[in-house]
Amino acid sequence: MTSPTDTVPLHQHVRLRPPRHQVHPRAVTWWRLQDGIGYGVLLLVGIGVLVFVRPWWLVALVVALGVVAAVDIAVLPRIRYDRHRWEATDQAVYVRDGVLVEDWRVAPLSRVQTVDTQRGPLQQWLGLSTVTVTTASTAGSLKIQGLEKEAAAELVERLTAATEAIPGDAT
Amino acid sequence: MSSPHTAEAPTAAGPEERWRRLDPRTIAVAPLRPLGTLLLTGLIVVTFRGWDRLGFVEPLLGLAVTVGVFALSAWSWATTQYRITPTHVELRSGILVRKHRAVARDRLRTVDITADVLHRIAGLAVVAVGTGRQGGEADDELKLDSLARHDADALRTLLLDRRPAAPAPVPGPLGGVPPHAPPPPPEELLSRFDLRWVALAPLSLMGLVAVAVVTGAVVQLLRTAFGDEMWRSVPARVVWSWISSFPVLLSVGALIVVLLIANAVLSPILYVLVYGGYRLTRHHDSLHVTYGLITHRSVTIEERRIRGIRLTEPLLLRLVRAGKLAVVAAGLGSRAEHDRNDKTSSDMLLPTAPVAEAHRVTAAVLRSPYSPLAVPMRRHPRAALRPILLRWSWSVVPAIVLGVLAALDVVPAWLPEVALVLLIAGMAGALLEYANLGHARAGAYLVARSGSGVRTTTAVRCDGIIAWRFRRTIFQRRSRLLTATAAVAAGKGSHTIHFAGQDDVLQVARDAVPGLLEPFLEPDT
Repeated sequence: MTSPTDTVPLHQHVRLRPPRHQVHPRAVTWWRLQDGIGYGVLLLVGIGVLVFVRPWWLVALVVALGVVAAVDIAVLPRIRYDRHRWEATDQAVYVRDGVLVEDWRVAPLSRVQTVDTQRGPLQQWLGLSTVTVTTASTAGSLKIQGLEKEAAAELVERLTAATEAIPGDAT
Repeated sequence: MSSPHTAEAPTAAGPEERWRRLDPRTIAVAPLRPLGTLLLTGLIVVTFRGWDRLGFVEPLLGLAVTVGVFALSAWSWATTQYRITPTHVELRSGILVRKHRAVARDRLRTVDITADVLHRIAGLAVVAVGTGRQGGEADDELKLDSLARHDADALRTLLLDRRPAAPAPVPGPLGGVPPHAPPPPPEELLSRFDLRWVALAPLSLMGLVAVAVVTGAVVQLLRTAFGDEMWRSVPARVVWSWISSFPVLLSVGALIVVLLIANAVLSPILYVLVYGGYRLTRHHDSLHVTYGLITHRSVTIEERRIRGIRLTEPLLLRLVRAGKLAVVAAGLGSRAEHDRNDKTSSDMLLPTAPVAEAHRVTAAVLRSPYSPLAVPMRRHPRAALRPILLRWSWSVVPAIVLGVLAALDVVPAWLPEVALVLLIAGMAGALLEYANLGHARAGAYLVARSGSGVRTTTAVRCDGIIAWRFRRTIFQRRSRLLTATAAVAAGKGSHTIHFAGQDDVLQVARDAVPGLLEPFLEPDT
């Protein structure tokens, strides 16, 4: 039943290896813009209030938020870019994501139900796409975020063809 | 089949394809329950207000409402039709807004027959046809409320047996059943109600739950009837002054004793009423679960939809080695839980019974020589205690806050003591949760155990796993912990092994689905 397990004998340390491919470097810009807009709105509201009243705790809050935002935007998207990796073989799709909570997902192509792409306004402007692979359980869906537009289309085509070639209702 | 009022039957339609109506007795039965509630409320209100203040208008109003409700019921019956075509089950209903719902027969996964007391007196039953999509919120059930009992049974047989054989994606459990085996025995009894199980009922606290529900309902009813006046009324004051004449500890102690007695008396009665007549049988590669003396339930689960079994053992029942079983099947599960407000969901396989019986039933249902739930579990590393303690540490917060407040003389000194008890309970909960953690691979099944107060052990078929997900926080990297989730297209959609040792769980996951994980694993130094 477990024939190829000889490569990794029991009682040895094993780990999930990083998937082969990275997403497009422009994804870093995308995440920075996303975070920037989120923090920007909060900061604008805070500063808007500060124009009229200036209690010391609100000043401290806004300053703290500004510092967090700056560090966050400068550092996190880079780390996330390093962490977010993906791979699609003839058998399975494999995605890694997450900075503070690391998350690996593997789905065999035989159980894949749909493959689709999403492109928000920022992604369209940057020429990026997000590919979502779903299975019959909500717990088994995978997302590859920030692929280059053509690469995403090519991947979707490949996965769709592969899943159509396998019969069954994937449950 | 009886009562087939034919309406606009399509030409050359088979005998099954006519539009039919529900059983006409429905007109009389359907309004009885709401009317009964209404009548009871009225009676209570009148009793409290005094019968002498009852005028002429109220009974007349009641009569008018009754007539109106029956008329509506008749109208609703006249406008509701269903039909079974070779491909679909269809239902047309609605008085003002017409609804048409069709369920494809090859998508159909369960046929569930329910009959409450009123239905049973009238010889009726409700048929619910489900497709059970997982994770979707759409209510994809079609309900025929209600049919004559024998019509309901015949419909179930028709829908489940004559369904065109869809390509089975998964072979029988353990792959042990060849697709065209010699004709199966007509009906195989797997388990049945045992009077000895009733002795376990008090530990399931069924009676206590019932007392809580009834008390809540009565208080709610009285408050709707009298508002806050209730607390100041004469009976309430008399009761209160009587209670306050005793010391607090005595009152509390007495209350606890009364509740324990109520639980001990009520639980066995409820157990018999809810689960009496329980039978688990296998027939034509389907499992049938029937139970209930008051509300009779009958659930059919196709064997090829079964992905696993779940054993639930609450703390008190664990002391006497008892628990209950539920099936993990495509088309059953989360839907059943929010659909029914009673506690008897359609995935129940065995009511509270000795664990030994649960293991016997598990093996029989899965056609396995042993119960996968009974295999020894692999323990999780001690490091797993840390994230669990962290999660339970919320119980520390009230203790600290109240301690500070008590020191400042804001709250009485006994409050922090209560909080301290909570804290100890919280720590005990964490230790219990850690002790319950475990996982194992048992033949064709992956077994995971978790929970603190209520321990659940789930066995899912490895070939039912449709994806793997692994998670850990960066703080768990050094302690080599990993949480693994197997996605399954049944039950709640996923089964999680919490805070396991990385090497352990990766190897188990790799062996569970051969060929899937190997390319993505590497030796670690």
